[in-house]
Amino acid sequence: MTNGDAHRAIARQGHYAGALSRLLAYGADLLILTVVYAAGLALMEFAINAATPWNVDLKTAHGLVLIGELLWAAFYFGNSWVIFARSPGMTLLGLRIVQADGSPLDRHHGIIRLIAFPLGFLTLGLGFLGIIFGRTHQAIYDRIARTAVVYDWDAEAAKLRGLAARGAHRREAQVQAPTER
Amino acid sequence: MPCGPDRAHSDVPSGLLLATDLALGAASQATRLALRVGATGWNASVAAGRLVSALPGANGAGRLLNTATRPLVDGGRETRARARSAAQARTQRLLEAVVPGLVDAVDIDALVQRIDIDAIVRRIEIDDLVQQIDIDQLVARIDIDQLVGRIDIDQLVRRIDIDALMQRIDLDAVVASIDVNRIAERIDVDAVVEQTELGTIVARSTSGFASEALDAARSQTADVDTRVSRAVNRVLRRKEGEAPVGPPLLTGETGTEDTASASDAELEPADASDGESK
Repeated sequence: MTNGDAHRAIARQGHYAGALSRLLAYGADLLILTVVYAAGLALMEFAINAATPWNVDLKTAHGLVLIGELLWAAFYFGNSWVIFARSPGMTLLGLRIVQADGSPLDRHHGIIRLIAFPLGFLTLGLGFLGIIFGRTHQAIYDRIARTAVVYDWDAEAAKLRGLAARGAHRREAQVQAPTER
Repeated sequence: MPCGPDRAHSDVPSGLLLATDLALGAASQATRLALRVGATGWNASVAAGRLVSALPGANGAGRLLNTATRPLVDGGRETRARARSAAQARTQRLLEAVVPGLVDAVDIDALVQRIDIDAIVRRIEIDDLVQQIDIDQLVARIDIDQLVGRIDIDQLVRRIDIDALMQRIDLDAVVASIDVNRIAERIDVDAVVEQTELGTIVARSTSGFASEALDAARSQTADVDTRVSRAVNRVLRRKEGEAPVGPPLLTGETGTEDTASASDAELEPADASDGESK
C-alpha cells in the first residue's frame, strides 16, 4: 500500500460505505455463518447418533435446517450488530454500523435493523438498491432503523504498518546488497 | 643657626663648635655683601655700557674692542667646553660608582609599602578614562579568528566540571519551558516509522502478511466503491456535490461525495509520485 492509498484510506474513515464493500462483507458473513452452522449441524448429528439410540439424518430435514439457519443467522447478526455494531464480515472489510446522524448504534436501533433486515430479500432485492443508488448508501432496513454503514478501520495504524514494512524491506535490501556483491 | 638641642647630643667640644659657627656666620655675611656689591657693580656696568654705546664713535671703538678681545673669547669658550665634557665624564663615573650602592641600599619593599595604592586609585577618574576609550575601534582591531584559534578547546573542556555544571542546572525549569506539543508537531512520524528501527519493531509486532493484505484489500475495495458511486452519479445526472460523504457527526460537516472525490483527486499525484506499485 502506497502513501497515497494510506492517506486516501484515512480520509475515507467515517464516510458512507459503498456497495462493493458491503456486498463483500455480507458474503463473508454468509460464508462464516454457513460454515459454522454446517459444522455445528454435523457435530450435533454425530453427537446424537453416537450418544443416543436415535439415528438422525439432518440432510433430509430441509425445513428444519432452513429454520435453524435463519434463527442462527438472526442470532449471528443480532448479537454482532447490537454488541459490536459490526458483523465479522464487516470487521474484515472495515465497516461499522452507526445511527443515521453518526452517533453509535444502540440496542434499540440494532434490533429494529435486525427485524427489518429480511425486507431486503422480501422485496426481491429492491431493498438493497438504495446502497448503490442512494445518496447515503442506505438499504431499506437502514432507512427503517435509521442507521448507516460507514468505513471504520484503523487506517492510521494501517498506514504506519505499511511504512514500517517498507522501511524494514528497504533496510534488509541494503544489508543484503553488499553481501551479494 | 639653632645650636641648643645639637649640643646635648654632640661629642665635639663646645669651643670648637662656637668658633665654627662664628666663622660660618661671618662667611655668610661676607658672601651676602659681596653678592650685593657684585649686583650693584653689574647694574652700573650695564648702565655705563649703554651710556658709552650711545656716545659718538662708540661703534668703531666697539668693533675695535671686539677684534682685540676675540682671541680671548675663543680661548674661554674652548676652555668652557673642555670643562663641561670633563665634568660630564666625571659625573658619569661618579654616578656609576655611587648609584649601584644607593640602589642596593634602598629597601624597595619598604618603599612600595609606603605607597598608598588605594589613594592613588581613588584619584583616578575611571569613568572619564573609560569614556575616552573607543570600544568599537578597540574591538575592530581584535582578530577574533586568531584569538579563537589560539584557544585550546580540549584543554578548556577538560577544565570544565561537568558534574558541578549539571548540578547547577534546574532540569525541571528547563523541561517546563519546553513546548513538547510543538516539538511533537514537528516530528515527521511517517519518516520516523519508515526510516528507523522503531519501524521494524512496529512491523514485527503488528504487521503480518494477513494484516497488510487486509489493509490493501480494504483500501482497494473502497476505491472501487468510490468509482461505482461516481458512475452512478453520472448515470443519474446527479449534480456534483449533492450527496453527503458521511453522517454529519462523523464528517464534522455537511460534506459531499464531490469533496471526497476531489480529495481523492488531490491525492492521485501523491500516489503517482510514490513510484511504488501496490
